[in-house]
Amino acid sequence: MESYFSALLVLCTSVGLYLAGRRWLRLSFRGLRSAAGLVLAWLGIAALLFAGNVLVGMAVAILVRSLTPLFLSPYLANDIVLLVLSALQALLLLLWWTTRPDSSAA
Amino acid sequence: MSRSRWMRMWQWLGGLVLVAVAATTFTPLPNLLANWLRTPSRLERAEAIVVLGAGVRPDGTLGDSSIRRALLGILLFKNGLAPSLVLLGPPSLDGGPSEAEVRLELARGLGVPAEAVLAESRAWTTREEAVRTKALLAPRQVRRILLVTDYQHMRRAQALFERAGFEVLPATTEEQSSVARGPEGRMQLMRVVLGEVVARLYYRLAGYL
Repeated sequence: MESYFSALLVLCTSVGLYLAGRRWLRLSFRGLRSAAGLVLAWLGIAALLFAGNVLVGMAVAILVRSLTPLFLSPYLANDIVLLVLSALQALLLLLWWTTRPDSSAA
Repeated sequence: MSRSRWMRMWQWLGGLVLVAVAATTFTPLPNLLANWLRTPSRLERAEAIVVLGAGVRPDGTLGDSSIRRALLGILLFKNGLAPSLVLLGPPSLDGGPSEAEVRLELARGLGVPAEAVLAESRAWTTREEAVRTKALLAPRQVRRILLVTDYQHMRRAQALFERAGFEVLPATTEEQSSVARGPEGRMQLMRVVLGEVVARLYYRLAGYL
């Protein structure tokens, strides 16, 4: 039960949000579907950017270590902040892409 | 590729991420993977106990993992499993004392005789630790060692020390308990497991293993 507490909590508040959105904000189910699609796309881009950032970070650490007397740990790329920054990077990219002026023509 | 095809591709990837996160947080997958990495301890008499580095904080205090490893090494020494104790640990990046020096103080404070302890603070990586330890113990003709490190790190460390010419008896500590329960504990465990998998991959690609 403890393991599922947060998931159940978010599920309950999401049902509440859905009902509130439908009733008071007059939001459509179709809009929710396309929003969920955008969230999935954001997650996908974030995962890809995170993997890329980790790889580049490790390569830089190894390069600095082999070319200079400095020691840079590859574990620096194992920082939770990198995940948050990659998620922001992905959000920015997704918004840039979906709000471009010619997006409807593509 | 059209925008909608790109979008579908990102969405599939996002879906996979969601499944992976759910499997990590709500199933025992990380515990199973951690057990797969585990090397059981073999606590027998040896010629030296070698405690691998794990990092020192900028204020000169030992990190959690570092202190756990150091205490196990000291305990093994106190139990008479080897006549000497080798404490490893790189210098602090902020100009403070090295991890090996801090551990040396700890060992002395806990009653380990100074002549039984060797401290080495020039190794930054596990591979360098194996090489430096070999150079340190070669004049004493030490071959059979008790190697102290975290259980998920042991297999890689053991292979490197065996490659350096030692007979290795593993003595493992628990860094992230493989019985971690709850979503956060499992996430942390998965992070440790993935970190070690990447490290092993890198060591293999670099030809160290």
